[in-house]
Amino acid sequence: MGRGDHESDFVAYYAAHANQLRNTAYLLCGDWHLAEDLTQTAFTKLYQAWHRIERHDVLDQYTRRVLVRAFLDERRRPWRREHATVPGSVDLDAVAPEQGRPDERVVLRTALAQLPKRRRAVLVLRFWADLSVEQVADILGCSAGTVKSQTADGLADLRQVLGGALDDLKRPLGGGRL
Amino acid sequence: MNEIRTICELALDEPGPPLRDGATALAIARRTTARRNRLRAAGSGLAAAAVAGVLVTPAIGGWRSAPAPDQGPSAQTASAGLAPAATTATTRPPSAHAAPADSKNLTRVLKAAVPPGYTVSEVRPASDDKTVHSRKVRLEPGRMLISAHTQVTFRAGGGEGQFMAVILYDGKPYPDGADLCAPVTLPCEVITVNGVPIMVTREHDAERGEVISAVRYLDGGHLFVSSAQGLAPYVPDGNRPPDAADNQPGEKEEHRPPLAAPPLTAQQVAALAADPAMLP
Repeated sequence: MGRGDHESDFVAYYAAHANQLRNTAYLLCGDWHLAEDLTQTAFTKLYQAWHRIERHDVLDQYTRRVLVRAFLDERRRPWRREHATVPGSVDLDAVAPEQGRPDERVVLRTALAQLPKRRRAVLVLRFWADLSVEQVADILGCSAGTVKSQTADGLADLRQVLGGALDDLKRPLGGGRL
Repeated sequence: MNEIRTICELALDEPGPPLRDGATALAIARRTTARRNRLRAAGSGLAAAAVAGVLVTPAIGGWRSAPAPDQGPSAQTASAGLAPAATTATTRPPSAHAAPADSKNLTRVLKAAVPPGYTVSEVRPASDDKTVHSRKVRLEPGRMLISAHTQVTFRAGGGEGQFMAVILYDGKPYPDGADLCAPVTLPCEVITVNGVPIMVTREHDAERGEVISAVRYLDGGHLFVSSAQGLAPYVPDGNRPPDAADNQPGEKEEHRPPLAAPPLTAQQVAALAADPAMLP
């Protein structure tokens, strides 16, 4: 397969999967711009590995693994913990904007964002992406037992933050409820 | 775990910016790969030079660290997660440091505010957890911690409305003297109740009717109170990954229409937000 074929396949795969991968990234990091960066990082690594991947049925799992590990790595880099003191930074803005009113989406998103990042990743991968314990363990590079314990811990964390409202979400409810 | 999926769906309810197209993504991937290859080649050259005994000395000026930014007193205080000392206010604003158990205060006040003739149908949640977030916690921009929250749903004449109150901690100092409505795009007014300025916004949609929200800024966060004439029906997002299993239960909770009239006026919602009984 020539480079042209390889690149057209890559672009086709991107068109089919980039949006859902970016949604997953957004659920992990809570920031659309960072989600875009993480998605691009994942697809760049996929591009570099494309010619080495013979079984394309594993592409989804490979891409998710790159994305999640990039997310975990991004937050370890020191420069990610540094924030310029410009308008929009937490240090100088006196008024919490969020258009003035945190609605239910903001509360739920905030609750999810409060989880430690690995627990958040486990919950998103298991219950949003519907991956098995083994698939999540492969992505995170840990044991199935660790995934199970992180799942339980993440749910406990969410329950602590949201209280009975978390159980309320087990069934479809009227918007406006937590 | 439908509750986690529901949280994810609601979090994705607001669409993100347009995704870059495939050609752009490919171009970036090509450039990154080419740069990586150049760096690898350069690394090989440096390694060869080191083996040959070549000393690489950086130019001093080019490697000098950037000077530390001159932080004013307020910036220093904020970076430590504390609010600056008030310079003009005579009294310190109340703190946003609340525990989940403080939700009971919120619930008590909201239940008492339900107008006569309405029946309270649901109150959520209740917690005895008295853990308070550390003042040293550092939050990234835009992040907030939920300290306490409650929702009170009530019915009358076949309709259903809801009050909600949340204490959010964001580590930001009290916006003393700021125009509270400046960052808000919704119709906004500042209502002062017993000397406490409350930012009040209104919005109206067909599903929820009139929604009046009030924000009382606190030291390190704010108290948010809303009064909704109705509740929006839940609509699951169909834009999920193709390999996601569809295990949402089939049954839907009965959706009731909004109340015949908004349960509270803007002044009343502002008074709720200013009520000291709501504070931790």
